[in-house]
Amino acid sequence: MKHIVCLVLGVILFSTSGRAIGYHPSLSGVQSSSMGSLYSGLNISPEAVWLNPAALSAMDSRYSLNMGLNFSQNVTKFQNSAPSLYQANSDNSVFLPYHIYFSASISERISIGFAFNTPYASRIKWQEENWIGRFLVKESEYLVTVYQPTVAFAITDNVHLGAGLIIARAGMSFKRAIPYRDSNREGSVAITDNALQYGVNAGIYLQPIEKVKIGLSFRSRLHFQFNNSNAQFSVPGSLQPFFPESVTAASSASTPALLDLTGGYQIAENTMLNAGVAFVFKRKTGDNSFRFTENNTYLLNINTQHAERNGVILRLGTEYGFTNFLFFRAGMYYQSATADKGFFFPANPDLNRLAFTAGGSFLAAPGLSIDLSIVYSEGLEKSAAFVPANFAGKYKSSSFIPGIGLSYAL
Amino acid sequence: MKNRYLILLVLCLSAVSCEPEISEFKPGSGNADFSVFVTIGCSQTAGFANNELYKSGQIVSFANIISRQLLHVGGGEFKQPLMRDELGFGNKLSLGFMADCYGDSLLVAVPSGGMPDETNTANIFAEEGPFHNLGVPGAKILHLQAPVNSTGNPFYNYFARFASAPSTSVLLDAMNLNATFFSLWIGTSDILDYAMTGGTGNPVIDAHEFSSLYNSALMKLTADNAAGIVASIPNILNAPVFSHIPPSGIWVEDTLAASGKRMLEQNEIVLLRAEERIKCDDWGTEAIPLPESFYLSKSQVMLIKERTAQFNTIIKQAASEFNLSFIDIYSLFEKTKDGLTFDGITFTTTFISGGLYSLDGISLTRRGNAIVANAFIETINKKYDSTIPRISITQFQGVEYP
Repeated sequence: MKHIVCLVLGVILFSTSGRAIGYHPSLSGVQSSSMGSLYSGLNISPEAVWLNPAALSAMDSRYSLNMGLNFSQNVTKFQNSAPSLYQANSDNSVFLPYHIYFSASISERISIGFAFNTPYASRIKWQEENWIGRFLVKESEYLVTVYQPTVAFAITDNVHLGAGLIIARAGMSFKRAIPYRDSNREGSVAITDNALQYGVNAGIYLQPIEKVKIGLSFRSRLHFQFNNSNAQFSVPGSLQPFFPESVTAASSASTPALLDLTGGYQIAENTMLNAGVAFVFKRKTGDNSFRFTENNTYLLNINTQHAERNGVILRLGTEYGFTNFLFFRAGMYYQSATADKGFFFPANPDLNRLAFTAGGSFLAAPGLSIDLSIVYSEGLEKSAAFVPANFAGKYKSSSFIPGIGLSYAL
Repeated sequence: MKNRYLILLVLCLSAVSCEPEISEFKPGSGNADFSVFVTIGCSQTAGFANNELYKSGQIVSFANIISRQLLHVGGGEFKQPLMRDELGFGNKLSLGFMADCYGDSLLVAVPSGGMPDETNTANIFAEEGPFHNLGVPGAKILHLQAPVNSTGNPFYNYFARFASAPSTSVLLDAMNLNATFFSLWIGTSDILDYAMTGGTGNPVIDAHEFSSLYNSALMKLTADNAAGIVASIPNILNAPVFSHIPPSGIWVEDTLAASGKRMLEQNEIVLLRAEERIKCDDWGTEAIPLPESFYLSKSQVMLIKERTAQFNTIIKQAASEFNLSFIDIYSLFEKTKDGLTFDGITFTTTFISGGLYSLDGISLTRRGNAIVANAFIETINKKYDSTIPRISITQFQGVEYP
C-alpha cells in the first residue's frame, strides 16, 4: 500500500504539461459501462484487466475472453458569448471504440491477462465549414490504443495484487483555418502524427467478508510527445514561399492519471450494489503549442496552452441476476471537468458530465454471454473562454453510446 | 422486468434524438429607439477601402454592419448610396505581383485596373434616396454644414452623388431623415489631410473652431431628441501609411537645418508613398534628401498628436453635454499596436499581413470594419441598456491574396 501511494505521488509530482486527451469512463467495457463503469458484479468481469488488474486473480473462471464495440455519438453545441446570436454544432458522426480483454489463471494464486482497448479519446469536428472558432480548431482527434500485459497475484483468498504494463499508441490529427485566403478559399493547416508511451496500471483487490468487494487501482498519466508531425498547409499561391514543404510540427498531449476506489456490496443473493470514486489528477499548466520547425510573418506556432484542475468521477451501479442466465445492470456517474474555464479550447470541450447507464447480459450457452449496454451522458452547460484567442461562449453536449459485447468464460 | 428494460431503452433512444438545448441570447433595444438609424462621418463611415469607394466595400462599412445588427432590435431600412460596380471612381488597389526596379517580382498593392461604370458619378438621390449612410470619404468637420457646391474638398464629388439637392449639406440631409438614432465619427480627415501632405498642405483646423462646429452639428442632430453615439478619432500615425517605413538613416530636406538637409530622428515619420523612390531612386540619401512633402518632422508629429488629443477631449465633453454614448476609438486603435485578437485572429498595424488596414494603408479591411462595428455595438449597449447582438469578425472575408 505504501509503495502504491509513493508511486502515485511520484507520478503526480513529476507530471509535465500536455494537451489533454479525455478519459471517457464508458469506453472501457460493455459490462462495466452498463452499471456506471464499475466492474465488481456478481461475477467479476474480465474487463477488470483494465479497471483493476488485481481483481483478475479473484475471478472464478480459469480462462475468460471479453470483447466489445461501442457506437459512440456525441454532439457539442456552442453559443457565442453575449451579445451574440451565433450557435454552432459539432458533427455527430459515429465513433467506434473497442476493447478485447483476456485473462487466464495459470496457478492457484497467479493469473495473467491482456487488454487491448481504446479508453482515451478526444474527438471533435465542428460541423459548419465556416464556424467562428475555425481559427482555433476545425477538427481534432486524439485516439489512444492500449496494449496491456497484466499479472495478478492472490496473497490470500481475500487479498489480491495486480499490475499491468500499459503500452500505448496515440494517433492524432488536428486541423484548423489560417487567416489568409485567395479568391476561392481560406488557408488551413492539417497536422498528423503518432506517438508511443508506456505507463502502469496497478491495483489492490480485497474481499474482507463474503458480501463486500473493495478495489483500489491506479493508472498513470500517459504523456505523448509528437516530435516530427507532418504539417500540410493549404495557402494562397503567393504565400507558398512562406510555407515550405519541409516544415514539421512538434507538440505533446497527455491522458490524466487516475486513482480509482470502488466497492461492491451484495445486498441479496442475486443483487450487487456498487459505488466508486475516482480522482482525476490534473495535468500541469503550460504552453503546449504546436511548434513548427520554421516561423515567419505568416507561419506562426499554434497556441493551445491550457490550465487544469483535478477532477473526480462518482459512480453508482447495480447488477441484478434475474435468473442464472440473465443479468440486468443500471448505473449512473458524474464526472467533473478538469479544463480551466479561461483556457477552454474547443478541440476538447471538457464539461461536467452526468451519465445514466443500463444494460445486461444473456448467457446464450454455458460460459458464453452476450452483453449489451447503453450510456446516455450529458455535458452540462458551461460558460468558458480560450482567453489567448479571445474566444468565448457557452458549451453543452450530449452523448449516446450503445455497446455490444461477447464474453466467454471457461 | 423485461418490459421495463425496453422502456428504458426507448427513453434513452428518444433522449438522444434531440440535440442538446443551449440557452439562447435574446436581443433587446433597451432605452433606445433604433428605428431610423443615420450615420455621419468620413471615409470609414462610407465604407471606403483599398483607396476607393466601391459597392462590396460599402456593403461591409461598419455603418451597414451595425444597421444589420439593429434589425434584431427594431431597426429599420438602412439605405446606402452604393456605387454601381467594384471600381468606384477608378482608384482601387488590389494585392498582386509587380516587378520592382531590380526586376524582383513582389507581392504589393497594385492598381486594380478596369473601366469604372460611368454612372458612378451620377446623382442617384431621385432614384434611390434618401440615404441613411451619409458618410463622405474625406469629409472634414467643416464639410458637414457646407453646401455640396461650395467646398474645396476633392473628395466631395462622393457627396454630390447622393445629395438631395445642390444646395444641401450632409447635416441638412441628415435632419431630413428624422433619425431616432445617429452615429457621428468625424475629425480624422481634418488631421489626415494635413499629415498625408507631409504637413505642406492645408493646416489642421484649430481646436476652438472644431469645438464650435462639432457642438453645432450635435445641436442640429439632437434637435428632435435623437439618441446617438459619437466617436473619438484614432492616432492616425499608427496606420501603415505612417508607420511602415522606418525613419532611421533617411536624409530629408529641412529649411531649418544649417545645410538645408538632415537625417531623420526616431520619432519622425516617412510617408508610405516614398517607399518606391527610396528603394529605386536613392531618395532619402544625403545626395537626394526626401522632399518635405514626404515626411513628418518632430514638430509636425507633435502637432498631429496634440490636435488629436484636443479634438478627442472636445468630442468626449460634447457627448456628455448632449447625453450621448461615447466610443473611445482612440484607445481601441492604440491597442492594435500590440496586436488585438478576436476569435483566434490577431490584428496588428503591420501593412497587409496585419489584417486590419486595407491596401491604402489607412482605411480598414472588412474585418477591421467589423471590429469597429462591434466596438460601437458594445458601447451603445452599455449606454442604452440594449442588447444588440455583435457580429463575429470571422464571418467577414480577410485580405485576398493572389
